[in-house]
Amino acid sequence: MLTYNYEFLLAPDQTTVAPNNNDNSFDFDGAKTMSTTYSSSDYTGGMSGGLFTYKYFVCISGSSPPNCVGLDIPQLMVDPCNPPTSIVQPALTNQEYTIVDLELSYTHDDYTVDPAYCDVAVTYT
Amino acid sequence: MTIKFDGTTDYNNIEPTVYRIIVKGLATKSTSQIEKFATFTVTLSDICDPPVSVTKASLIDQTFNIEDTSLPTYVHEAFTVSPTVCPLTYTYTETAIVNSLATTAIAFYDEQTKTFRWLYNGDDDGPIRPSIQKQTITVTATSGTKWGTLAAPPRAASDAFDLTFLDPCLDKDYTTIQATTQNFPTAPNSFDGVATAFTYTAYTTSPTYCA
Repeated sequence: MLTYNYEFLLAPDQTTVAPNNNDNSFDFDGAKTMSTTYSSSDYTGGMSGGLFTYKYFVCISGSSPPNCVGLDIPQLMVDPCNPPTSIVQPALTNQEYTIVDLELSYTHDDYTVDPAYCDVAVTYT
Repeated sequence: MTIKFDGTTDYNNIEPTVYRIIVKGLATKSTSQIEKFATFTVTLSDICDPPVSVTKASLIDQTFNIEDTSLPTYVHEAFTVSPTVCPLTYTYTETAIVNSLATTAIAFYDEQTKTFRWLYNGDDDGPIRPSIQKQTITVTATSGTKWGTLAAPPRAASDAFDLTFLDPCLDKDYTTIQATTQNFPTAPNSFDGVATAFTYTAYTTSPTYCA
């Protein structure tokens, strides 16, 4: 009988990652299907775009020494923030400052980015 | 007159039967060479009809991997017969493998060399599933004679050994896994909650019943 032993998920940079597998199912014995779902939490949790590989070993049960062959399942991920769907700047209001004033504080609204979990770096010139 | 035969050296050369001994008496100083003949018989018995005893050997249990096609051998110990010049004939009986495509793993048996060779050509896993089977093989040595037919019942001895089958799926030397072409998903996933589905095409094994 064949058994399926999950080893790890290999990231594009050859490191291993642990996706949130709550939404993933692996049924090679029964329906012989694998269904993987990735959400923003996987992305913010450290996954990125690129080619990931699920590393499995298919083994004959009970063999000693182990008798196994690899099964590599590719999973191409797209970085949703590269580029994001959109980024919208806030409406900035012109300010007046009299040079003898001690200071002027102006807080502008945030940039809005879609997906919202994409990082936005704000600089000024 | 003394007649003496040695069982070890003479048995294979001198047939046990009735011999007529003719004794000639010659008057040696008679010019007419007077001679007379007297006759008596000697019945030479067959020391192997029957022999004193036939003693079994201690046969040793064997194992055999049913995917082993190298015709592995088992040479069993010789049974002993007394007198040792008496010939023995070896035969065997066996219990059959059940629920399988072949009922035996005995490829052949050579009684001259006392050699069994194993081969299972059923091409199925019947000897090992659902449970490991074994064949019990009983070897019988029966006494005979070099000369003619036996007058007395022959003597015989038997011993048995088990041939237990081994599962090739547990031995990497006899089993291989073949990877199959897979239809991997090609659409990228963008962390959007949409499931990526992959249907696995099962790997195959040789022998097929290991999968």
